Amino acid sequence: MATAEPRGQALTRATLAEMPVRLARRRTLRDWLRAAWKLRLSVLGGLVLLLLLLIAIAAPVLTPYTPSEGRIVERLQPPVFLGGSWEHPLGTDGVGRDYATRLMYGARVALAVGVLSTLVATAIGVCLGILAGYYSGKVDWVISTLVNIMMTFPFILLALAVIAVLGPSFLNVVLVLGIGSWPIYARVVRVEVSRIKALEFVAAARVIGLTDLRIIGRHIVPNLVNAIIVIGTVQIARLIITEAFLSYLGLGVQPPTPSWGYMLFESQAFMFNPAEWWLPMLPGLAIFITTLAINLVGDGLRDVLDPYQRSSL
Amino acid sequence: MARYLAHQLTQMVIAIFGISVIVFVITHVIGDPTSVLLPLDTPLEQREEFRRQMGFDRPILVQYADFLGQAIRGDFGNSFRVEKSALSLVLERIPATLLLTASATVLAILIAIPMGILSAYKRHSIIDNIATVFVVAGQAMPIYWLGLMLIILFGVQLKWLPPSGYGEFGIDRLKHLILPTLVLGVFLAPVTERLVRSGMLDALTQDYVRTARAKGLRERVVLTRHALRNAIIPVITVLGLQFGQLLGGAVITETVFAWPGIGQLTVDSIRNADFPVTQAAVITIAVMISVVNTAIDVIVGIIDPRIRF
Repeated sequence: MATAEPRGQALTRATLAEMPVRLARRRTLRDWLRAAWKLRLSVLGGLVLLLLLLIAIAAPVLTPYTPSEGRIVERLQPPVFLGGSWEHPLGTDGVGRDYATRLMYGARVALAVGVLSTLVATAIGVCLGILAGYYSGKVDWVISTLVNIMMTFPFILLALAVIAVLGPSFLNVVLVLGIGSWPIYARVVRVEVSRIKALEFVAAARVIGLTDLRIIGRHIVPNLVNAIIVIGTVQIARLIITEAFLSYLGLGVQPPTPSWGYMLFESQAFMFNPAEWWLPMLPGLAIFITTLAINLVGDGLRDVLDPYQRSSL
Repeated sequence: MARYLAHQLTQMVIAIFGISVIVFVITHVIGDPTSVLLPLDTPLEQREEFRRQMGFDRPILVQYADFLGQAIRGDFGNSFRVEKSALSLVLERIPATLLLTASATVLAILIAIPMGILSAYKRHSIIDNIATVFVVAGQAMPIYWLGLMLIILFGVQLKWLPPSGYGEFGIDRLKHLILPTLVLGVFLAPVTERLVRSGMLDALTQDYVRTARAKGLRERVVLTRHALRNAIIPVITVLGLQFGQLLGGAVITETVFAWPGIGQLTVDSIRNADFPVTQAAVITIAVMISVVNTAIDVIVGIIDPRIRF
């Protein structure tokens, strides 16, 4: 709004001078701790996520084994909590590969696919959402109709069909998940843009002769960032779950790259052995912990960034 | 009303048409049908010859018109694997899917409504916190993994229930239905619970609830007759609109439990490059979703005249 008023700067300075000192006070450690306590579950989620990220990055340093080479004589050793040895803390799989190592490397695939495909979806969704919201009319109708159709149709089916046609690979999985999940951003961004477009500062920007591109880039996009971050976080979790399902069907990231979904698929062969129930349990638990942590962080972000749309908590 | 109905039906036709375009683009434009239909080592000349025979060398719009014309007549060709028309293969799977989705919806409602009422009524209480944990965990749950864990626990270790399959009609079928229903119910219940909770939170602040209490009605009556009645309408609408997502969940659940529904057939046909079946299944699912969504819109329009225009 300051750009609309020539005297805005002076006004602000004057107002600042009159402000009570209490408001200008720097935040103390106690304030931070209080805020963190309020969001304790999100902070916990964030810490877990950080730990997972570190494990994913440092996997080669953290383990003496490689994820794809196993010793068949050491196959199906139980994890420590079922009486196994510390040599393989989470046991070994059907061909004697260290399970903990494979789980650690699996985190790489999950996080990479989740983040990258979310970025693809954000890029497409935000652009189309801005187009629909800013220009309205026919453009809006076409984009909105597409969004509505894609959002009522089960995303997993489209993803499966495209992967089947393109063939499974890391890049294809990222693209398919990204291209399949953009509508949610377009829907939210469209509503936001058409709301912001009607505000005074946009009118002011137009009056002083700014181009559409500049208005969108300088005045509208910055107002969208919070909403996009909030959706994006939750979407990462959703796409990790979907990626793992594709891999579980053998249509995701291909072996020998270890992915949690494919580990689930492999371990299915041992599901009916009464002793090897932990084989399918661990990769799923890894997925669950990861998505839970991300969702908790997302809830916290929504509380902080998007006060109008309070969290589900 | 006639205008509203016409509008809804047009929307439905547009949606189905849109899906047919998407399916066509996926199968004919992004993908090369010949690469799926022919063995990998087919020489280029044979590939071209086959392309001509199947009409894949014609302009893309002509191919689409052809595809659409056949789809409207329900003719998707024969399955590559079974000597049967693709559509009939798809249609015979619908009852299993409807049985599963219906029982999961009932389960989700049985969990979500009491939980939602209680957690709205006693906000920030232990019950509300438990409900929140359930919702957060449910939303983060990879349901295929939950399915595998239930199979291991109840099917393999305890041997209480059959691990997978459809079973014989009767008690056996019901036994087979329990685990898939649990999984798909967990998929649907969290969203439903949040809807009931926020609807109830809203309703409980309304004047009619205060009036009902002032009349001296018992709390139970106030909650169920007055607050819930008003909170439930948006729940029904959103549940109807969630039908597509529910079918998405059914695809996953059916795959894990080898439940012979339309979702399992779709996954199966995709994995085996059975093109005609994939197309027939995806279009059928699109039609099912559109019909349900339109029906919900029309019903809501009848109940609540404000929505019509």
